Amino acid sequence: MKLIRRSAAATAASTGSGNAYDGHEASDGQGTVGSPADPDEQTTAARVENVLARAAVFFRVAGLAQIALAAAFDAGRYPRPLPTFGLITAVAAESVLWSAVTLRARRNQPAATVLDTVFMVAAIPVGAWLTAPRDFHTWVHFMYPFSLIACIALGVTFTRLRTVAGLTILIVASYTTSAVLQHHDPLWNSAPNALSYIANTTVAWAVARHLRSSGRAADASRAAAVHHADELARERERARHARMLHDRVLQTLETLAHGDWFPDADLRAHLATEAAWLRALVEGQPLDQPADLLTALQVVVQGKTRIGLRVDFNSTQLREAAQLRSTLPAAIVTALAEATGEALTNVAKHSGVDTATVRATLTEHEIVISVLDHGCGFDARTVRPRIGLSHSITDRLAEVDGVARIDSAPGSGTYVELAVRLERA
Amino acid sequence: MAPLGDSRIPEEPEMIRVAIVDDHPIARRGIEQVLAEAPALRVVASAESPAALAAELSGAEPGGYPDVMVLDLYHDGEEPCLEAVSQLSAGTRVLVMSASGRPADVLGAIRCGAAGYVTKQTSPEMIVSAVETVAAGGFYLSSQLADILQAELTRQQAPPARQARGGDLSPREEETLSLIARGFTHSQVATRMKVSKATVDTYVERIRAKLQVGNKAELTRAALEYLSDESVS
Repeated sequence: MKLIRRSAAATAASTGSGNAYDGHEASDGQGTVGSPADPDEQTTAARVENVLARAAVFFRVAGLAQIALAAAFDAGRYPRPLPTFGLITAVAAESVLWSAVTLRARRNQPAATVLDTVFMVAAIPVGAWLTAPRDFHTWVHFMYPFSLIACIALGVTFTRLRTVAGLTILIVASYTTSAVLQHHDPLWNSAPNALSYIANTTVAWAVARHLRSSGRAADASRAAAVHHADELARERERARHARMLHDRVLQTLETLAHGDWFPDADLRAHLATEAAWLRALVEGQPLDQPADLLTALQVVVQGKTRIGLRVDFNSTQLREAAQLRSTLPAAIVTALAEATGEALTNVAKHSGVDTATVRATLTEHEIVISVLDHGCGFDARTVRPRIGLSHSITDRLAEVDGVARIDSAPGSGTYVELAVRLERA
Repeated sequence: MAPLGDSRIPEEPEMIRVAIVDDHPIARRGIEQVLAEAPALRVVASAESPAALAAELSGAEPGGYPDVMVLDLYHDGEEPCLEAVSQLSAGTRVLVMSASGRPADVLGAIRCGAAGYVTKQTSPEMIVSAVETVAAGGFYLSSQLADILQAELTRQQAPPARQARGGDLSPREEETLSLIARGFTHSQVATRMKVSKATVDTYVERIRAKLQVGNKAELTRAALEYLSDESVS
């Protein structure tokens, strides 16, 4: 990722469009603070994690400095110098490894931190044993100041307090045992020392928790702001389109629908339907409101007319059942309209004829939309693709507890019946 | 407009003579075109109104009188020309045509004696088939007409008082109507209902009879009045 970005900066620089030094600087700056171009750094939450990871590594470096300081002052007092420096080397190497993993991931890695804690829990008594003196001050035990600072990583890695507390107690137990048994520290000294671990990890946990929640809040508010700006832009665009549609198209449609330019009442009714739809659109009414079944089917039939299918739509019963239409659930309307459209598409594609009859039949118990063609028909048992096609119709109907029956035989057309039971009030 | 092609009548006596009444000149020309292409049909007259048609036919010899009249349901206005349907049905067979009729008006036309109903969107083959059926004395029950009739009759069956007018269909007739409205041919209806095609034809005729029952006397009287009016004028 970094390589690509740098080479891009280098390319920009080599084109001579800007100062080469500036280009490189900008790229580096992006790398440290996090830029939108880097997917890991796109959110504040990710940046918070990166900051926490760097903080943990920083404290680790400070811990290692404490060891260096202690060793510089007390090296002469170590009863077993060689193994002691061996331990210091091991601690430093483990710390480098852990820091590398953490920095590379740009966030604290729970698994790495657990292993690190286990290492620390084991290293504390080893250090105590190696440095165990009779009469020196406690700082000879260099693992204490190191682990006290390094344990802050625990607090910032884990989001659950009980995990932090559990791991802290392991370290506390390791320290207290070695301090009391090996260094024979008095309790008045080791008890407050032990408490310092708990204070460090808990405070680190609380600070990290606060930072994380602030990060999330910042992300949420930024997302909301972006969404809002987006909405606003869309709304402006919609309003502009609405004005144009209203002034140029809707008025023409409505004039045509209500005048006597067309002798065909069906065409006028269709124009009126389209005009009503367009008016709803430009006035900002939600268009996906439960549409009227008659309108929905008319739209489907008109759509097929445009692709060259001539459809007789026998809808008198449906037309007269205004009460039923007003109470029909939108899901049923959509399912019936879509399945009808699917059936008509099949006629257009496969029947070999260009005419079909759609009829809406209402009985006391059910509403039936039938689609009939007098085309070539098919044998549903042998024609596999048609089975797939009919499945999409049956499945659509099944979603609204409806039933689709498909009846066809070679040479005798295809009859599709879409039936939905009516809920009796 | 003068009667068309009178000189050909003796040569082709089997031809079905058709007259067209439609106030819309372009629509009229369109129907003429469709019918002219059918070898068994001949358009003998074409006029903008029933009165104009009567005037046109007044000079025609008896053999020139049309077997079928294709009549537009609405002439210059919103009102269906039911009276003309009644009067013309007495003397010839009337096939009603309209771009889209109000169901009640279509039912009215059938009650007044029309032998069929087609919309202006009906395919040319269907129009020719309708004219042939009507010319042979049959009732052309298009899917659109079946759809309208079923809706109208079911609605009218609700108040019992209306049943006297012949609206009550038997379940088999109702089923026939429903299947034809879905687009099935008479043969397909027969297969579905597990009866012969002749039985289906009978059901269709019964439906027609129930719709037009009690109308014969009225029709005859109206036709007589109409003809006497025409002969006076």
